[in-house]
Amino acid sequence: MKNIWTIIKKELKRVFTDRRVIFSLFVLPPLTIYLIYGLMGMSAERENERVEEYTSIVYVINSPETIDNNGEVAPGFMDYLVDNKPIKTNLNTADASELEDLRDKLENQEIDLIIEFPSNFETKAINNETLGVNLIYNINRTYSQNAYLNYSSTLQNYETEIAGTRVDLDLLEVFDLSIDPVGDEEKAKGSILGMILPLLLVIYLMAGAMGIGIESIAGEKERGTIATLLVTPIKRSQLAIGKIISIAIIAVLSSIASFLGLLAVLPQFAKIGGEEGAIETASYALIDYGMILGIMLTTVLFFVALIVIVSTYAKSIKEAGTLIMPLYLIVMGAAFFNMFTQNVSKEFINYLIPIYNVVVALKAVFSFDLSITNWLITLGSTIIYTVLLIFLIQKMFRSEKVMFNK
Amino acid sequence: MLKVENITKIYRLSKKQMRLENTNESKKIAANKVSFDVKPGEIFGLLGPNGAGKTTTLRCISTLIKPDEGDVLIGKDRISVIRDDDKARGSLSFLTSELKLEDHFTPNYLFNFFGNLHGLDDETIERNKKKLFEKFGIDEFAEVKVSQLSTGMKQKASIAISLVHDPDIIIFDEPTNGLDVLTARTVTDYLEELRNEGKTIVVSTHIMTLAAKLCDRIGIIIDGKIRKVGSLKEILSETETDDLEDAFFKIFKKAKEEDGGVI
Ligand SMILES: Nc1ncnc2c1ncn2[C@@H]1O[C@H](COP(=O)(O)OP(=O)(O)OP(=O)(O)O)[C@@H](O)[C@H]1O
Ligand SMILES: [Mg+2]
Repeated sequence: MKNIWTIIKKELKRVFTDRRVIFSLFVLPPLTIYLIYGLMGMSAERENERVEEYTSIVYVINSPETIDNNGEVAPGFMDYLVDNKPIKTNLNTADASELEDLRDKLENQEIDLIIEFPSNFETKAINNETLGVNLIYNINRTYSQNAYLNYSSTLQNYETEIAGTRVDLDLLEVFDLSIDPVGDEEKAKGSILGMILPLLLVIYLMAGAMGIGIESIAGEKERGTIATLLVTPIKRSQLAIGKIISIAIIAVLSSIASFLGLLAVLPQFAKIGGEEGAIETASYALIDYGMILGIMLTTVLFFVALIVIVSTYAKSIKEAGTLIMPLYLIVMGAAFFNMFTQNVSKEFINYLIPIYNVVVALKAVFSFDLSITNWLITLGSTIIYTVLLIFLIQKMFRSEKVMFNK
Repeated sequence: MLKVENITKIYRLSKKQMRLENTNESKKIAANKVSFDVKPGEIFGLLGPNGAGKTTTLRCISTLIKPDEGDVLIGKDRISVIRDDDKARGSLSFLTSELKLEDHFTPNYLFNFFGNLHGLDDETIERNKKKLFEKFGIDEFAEVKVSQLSTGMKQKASIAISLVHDPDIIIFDEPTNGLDVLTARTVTDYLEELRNEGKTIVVSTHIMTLAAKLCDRIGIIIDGKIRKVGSLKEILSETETDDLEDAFFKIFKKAKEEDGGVI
């Protein structure tokens, strides 16, 4: 135990007293993230401006006329909108018979929103019935989403106008707003954050562990400094564990630095996801953070073990770099593949596949969709894989073929 | 006390190594039943040409590699270096120019670091440090990073650090390799001093004059086999020569005849 600690202290000292290494591990990654996503945020802002410039095409079916209930008057919907349009709108009324036609147009992105009131709205309103109002929009179209969001709050304001005309004033709830999104629902599930964060986290973890992992073992082999350690009474297994732990510590710190860079840029970043993105970041519960942390920690150990194997096997830094590339590509591949498959997986088999399970699980957490069982499967399987890898590493450290294969 | 018994080490060559070595054999017998004894207070020299198996033999003794056959026993308790390697490493030291110090640290830091790995308390480390640093003049550059030291300084630091645990048995592969006369002299003088303290010392070399001057007994190794063991005097009289180089050539020629090879 004491020997392991001695090794860890030395490894940490090496990293934290080298300005170049500190820069490349803890400064450069967050800085690049800040710059890249800052730029993305800027372009999102420009996109927002474009949305504001746009004139939405809205159709209203069974648009309510003026309601006059013994002197309590509520304006007709069209009249109400004259002064209360939330966004630039090309406003039209339509008959219930045209609904199917309009839905097709909505799907083809020719129009942006249909507001469907029930027929005989006026009498029903006075008679205290709760009125189903349906908002039909296309979730795959930004303009359409924007129109839906704005008009649903306008409708809530309009609701208070109508409530005043009611016989029973306690029944303030006039509308039962329902939405009917048109388009590919899967495509819109999960916020942009949920899509990108798992990818970034996994890549940072890997990248953080890679450089230092190669340096710390293949580098020592190349420079002949590891042999000096091998003639001391330290057990090979202690040396291996000491190396693994110190690399893991540095990798975690480095990915935290990257993560902070991401947080710094998040306010701008949220603009990409629109209001929804902002809502989701705000409402992650403690348990979600716990889940993310658990996955991060086990993952970093697993990655470190993978990297240490490659680094131990290689004769030189250059060889380790070459050998590690396919591994890096597999990790990136798993992350990207997952980013573009939209639905959150529930099948437990996905939570057993090494590397892939981590990406799937992270994605599920960010979409509030990870069950405790699947979380435990992810952690458990990753820990088991890591333990197996560590056994292999200890075996390699004991093999003279591996340690003296110059 | 050091007893080497019938050490045999066979390397299995990869296709690439076979091509590089220009051979059809997939096995290389680098050490072939190597046996010798070294007593406390004695310097034993393993003398042989390039590729004779010196480094291989010394690595087997210092637990870095495992021989295919044979055993190495050390100390009064006759600890087997093969079966009890973690323990054996506590009482021996392996020095070579191939064992490097990490560039990023200072000799002072590394001395403490290795002292800790040997399980020494701070007091012992400081005491041994004072002695060794003074001996090799390391105090002047004790706080300079290894990357900024000259080859000779690095070698001195490396020797001092390898001796941090004051081992009874010292194995030194090519002790003067890459050193100028002055530094080489410091090193050989110190080895003699250690011998006088009663340490058991094995060195390897291909330099005849060094073997003749430094070693109490010499083992001549050629193609993995020990061909002759004895003091300089014994070797000279047995080969009827009056200089180690002549003796070596005689033994070399005879070895090649025995092995059926050509010179
Ligand atoms: N790891 C290895 N794999 C395969 N063959 C090896 C290996 N190490 C050494 N050999 C071979 O074993 C033989 C003995 O090598 P060794 O290094 O022990 O010789 P040496 O006496 O130390 O030579 P030198 O004076 O050049 O240092 C050589 O033929 C060498 O090529
Ligand atoms: Mg050698």
